[in-house]
Amino acid sequence: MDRRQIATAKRAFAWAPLALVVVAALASLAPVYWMLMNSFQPNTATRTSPPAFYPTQFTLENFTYLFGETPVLRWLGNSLFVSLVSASFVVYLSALAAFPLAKRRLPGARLLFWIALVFMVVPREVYLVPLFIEMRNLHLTDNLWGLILPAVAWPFGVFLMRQFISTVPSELFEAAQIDGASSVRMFHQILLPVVKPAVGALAVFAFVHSWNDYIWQLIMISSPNKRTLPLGVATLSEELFTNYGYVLAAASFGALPLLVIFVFFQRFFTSGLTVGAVKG
Amino acid sequence: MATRMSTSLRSPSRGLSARIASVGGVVLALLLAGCSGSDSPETPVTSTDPSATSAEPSPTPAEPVTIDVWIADFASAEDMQGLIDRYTAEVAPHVTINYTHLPWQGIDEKVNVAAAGGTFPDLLGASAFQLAPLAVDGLLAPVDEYLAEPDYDFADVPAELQPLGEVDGTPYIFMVGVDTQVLMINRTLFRDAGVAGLIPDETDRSWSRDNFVEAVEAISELPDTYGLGMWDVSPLHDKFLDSFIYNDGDQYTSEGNAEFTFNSSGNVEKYQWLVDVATSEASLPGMTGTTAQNVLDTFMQGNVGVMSHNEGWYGVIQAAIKDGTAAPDLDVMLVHYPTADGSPGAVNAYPRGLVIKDQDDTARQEAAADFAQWLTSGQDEGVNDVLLKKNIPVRASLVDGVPYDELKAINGMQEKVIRPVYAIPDYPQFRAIWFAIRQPLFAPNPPYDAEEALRRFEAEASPLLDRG
Repeated sequence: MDRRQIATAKRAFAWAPLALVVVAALASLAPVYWMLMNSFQPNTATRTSPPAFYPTQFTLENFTYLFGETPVLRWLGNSLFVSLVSASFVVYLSALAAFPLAKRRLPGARLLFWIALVFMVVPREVYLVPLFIEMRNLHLTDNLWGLILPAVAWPFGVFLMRQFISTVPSELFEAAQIDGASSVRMFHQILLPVVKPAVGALAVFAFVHSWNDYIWQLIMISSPNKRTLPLGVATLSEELFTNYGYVLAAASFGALPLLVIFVFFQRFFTSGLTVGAVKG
Repeated sequence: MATRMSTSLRSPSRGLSARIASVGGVVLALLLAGCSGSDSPETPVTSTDPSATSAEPSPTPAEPVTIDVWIADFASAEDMQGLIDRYTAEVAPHVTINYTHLPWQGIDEKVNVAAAGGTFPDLLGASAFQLAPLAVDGLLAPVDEYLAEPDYDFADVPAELQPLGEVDGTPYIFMVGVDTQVLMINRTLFRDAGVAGLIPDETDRSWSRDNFVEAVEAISELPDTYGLGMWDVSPLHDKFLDSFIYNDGDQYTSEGNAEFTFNSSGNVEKYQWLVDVATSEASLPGMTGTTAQNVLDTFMQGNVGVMSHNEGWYGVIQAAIKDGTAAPDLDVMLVHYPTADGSPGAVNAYPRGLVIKDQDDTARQEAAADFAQWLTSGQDEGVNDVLLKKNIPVRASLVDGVPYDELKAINGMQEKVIRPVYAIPDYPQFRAIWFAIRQPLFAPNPPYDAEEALRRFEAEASPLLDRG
């Protein structure tokens, strides 16, 4: 193999990872493309055989139905309310719980942290009924707060924040303590600004987690006016027939807030993904 | 460091503060919006306008009562709301109905958690797989007295279908209709797989279990093709799958439904078919969601050889053929479930209808029962038009272009109607087969000793398979 061949092989090898990423990205985007494309097609065009990978008919009928015949804006409002409030609580309470676990001398801190970790792996089905009974006793069934409150104590949030806070130099807090700052002040004025990437990432995680929690929403909510977007979309499918045009239009519309949230917090989100990856 | 930190304490990050403030403002606004809007019903659930009432006024005004009604798909949400509005306006102005149109996705979780959590609705639209466990748990009120009332017309429910709504001999359901389980085959795939000779005879639509296994295994060898499409191959539907093996009205459980027994050749026949399914090399598409829509779609795209479902799906398939969204070469035929000797097998059926909650609040229970009676008694033509009450191929007939000769074939099959199995708390043999079916689809491995259960099944079933 001469030098030119080696150089060519090296270039090809250098491009290989990029090609792999492009293929993976296209594979990931394919369902999104299919959803968007078919949301602008009549139902019959969504189910052709063999499947079409490009639009053959264009219609706004799906969106006309969605906005004209369903309370989709109310569904959206309910979902936004639940997810934004849940995410706000999750971020604040997780940071609040993680701070002493990571930076304060708290008896049993390690045990508490492990307890939180254990709850991360407990399947939802295990506590579905007890949690529902608890919500019923609090008179929170068929109430949007019944969707919010169980979500605010999220073990994963404590885990994520604790890992990130552990990487923050302890000297920051020692210096603040010397200056006479209280723990509350340290939390709000030192810790939170420093852990912005983790806050952003956790906010996105918590928002999406709450947004997509279909089964809990289904179990808790019965009134039509309190349905969230996932519940509303589910009602568009009948037992024997699904109008995919309607469903995909609703799914496309429902994806918009997630897209906006992600774009808004993207910088923090990508930083947050590397939390704990480097020990420093 | 201390000096810098002091400065920092006086001037925290403006960006974060601004962001927190803006997010806080949004949250506060949403909080206020959520609080103010959450209690105002979007849909009026009752009308109390006396001028709209056509029924004769009651001598003594009834006390107001509110009931919760959960129904999935007897009619569209709009049509059902229309019936409710008419009922509360014309028939029972004192009743307020909180109606929830249940989505099918997750319906089991919704109902089961409500049952366990004490929020079970006063009236539930139910199917066979929900009926038995709920009745055994004492959640349902018997409805025999209501069905016996003079204005309740049970005549249009064939006598052999009436036991479908019973659990241990007690009726618990106001029947709206009956679903019939059938097999649908794609004859094109039989031909492609070289097993056209195994297509059931067109006159009696019957075939043997050996032919069935050979066909589905051969079709499974075709690229991108599944031999068999099975509804109910899911973790939640073990109760429902029972209906495959309950034949000709025979009991197959011991007293109290505690122990699985085999006491008729008919149920053993169907059970043995399930063993064939579980032990064959046939490929199955996994079931996603309660409705197994993906199984139906895969069949309609021409990629499933044999599919088991109800006549409603057959209607949907015919509609897809008509509007050109099914595979162009899809060639569907309804056939019997196979039997050992190739004689026509029994057809399964299960009821759909309304069940009422057994509760101390008699006013609510009565109101729920009255509404269920109104919906199902057959006395109101307007209701019948919406629900197509007791019309057995109900959903199929909703679809234009259904070949009605085929539907007649379903009805012909239904002469050998069976009852679904009710209330079997635990029966390892059945679970073994069930898990054997779903094992390739759902990890981890089944927690049951499938081989031992199958051995036990063979030991118990063998004598019964010998029909003499």
